[in-house]
Amino acid sequence: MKDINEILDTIKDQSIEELKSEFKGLLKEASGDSLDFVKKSAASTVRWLSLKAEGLLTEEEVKSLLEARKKEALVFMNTQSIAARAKIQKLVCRLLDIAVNSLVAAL
Amino acid sequence: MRKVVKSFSKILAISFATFLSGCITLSNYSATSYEHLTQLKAYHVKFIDDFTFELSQPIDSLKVQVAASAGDLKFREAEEYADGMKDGSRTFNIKVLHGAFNDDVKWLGKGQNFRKTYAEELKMIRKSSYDQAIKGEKIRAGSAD
Repeated sequence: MKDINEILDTIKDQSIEELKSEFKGLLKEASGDSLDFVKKSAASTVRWLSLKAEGLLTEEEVKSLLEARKKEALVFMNTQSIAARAKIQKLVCRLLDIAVNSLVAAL
Repeated sequence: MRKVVKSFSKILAISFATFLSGCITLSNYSATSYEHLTQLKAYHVKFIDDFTFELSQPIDSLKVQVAASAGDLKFREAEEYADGMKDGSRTFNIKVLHGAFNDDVKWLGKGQNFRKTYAEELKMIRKSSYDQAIKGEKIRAGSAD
């Protein structure tokens, strides 16, 4: 599996440079989070982008997987405290949004 | 003095009622809801399996329609039951899972199957989504777990 920096470096579109660095920051924070769901979401997002970069998943498939994870987040948040919900929105939902709206198409 | 005690009792009653109404937002564990979720999980995962092939290939749209309709009925039954229990959080979960099932039906509606790599990843998410809802059911008061 490709490293996330290697994958993001293949994106040459200057207009999403800021989003790329925000994505890296969110990924770092989410990967070290205490909630398993947050860590798992970060890891799977990287895996899907990597599979897309390797040509094993299409753009449409990756977008669908990211949307599916968002729906899972809704169910997960429904059983969590307000603090945990806020963290998931800030980290996971934002991470998935950047990936689905900007990164996947640019890869 | 009697008036003061009466007012105090009134305030206490109102506070207690408010406290109670704040607490009764979650209903107790329901074995039927638990069963609905496990059955829906099994059905949804089999639905994905049934339309998964190594590579892209045309699919039998009638077969999709029949399987989607049977799934839709199962979700509607679970939603009706959840609605009857007057517990918004339980209804919410079923509605989100129903939406996820509809997304997968729509995918097939475009005339494409689930390719193997995609299906493996998709199944992982779907299974985990049901597991979150099942966990939410099992942490309710009255569950044996």
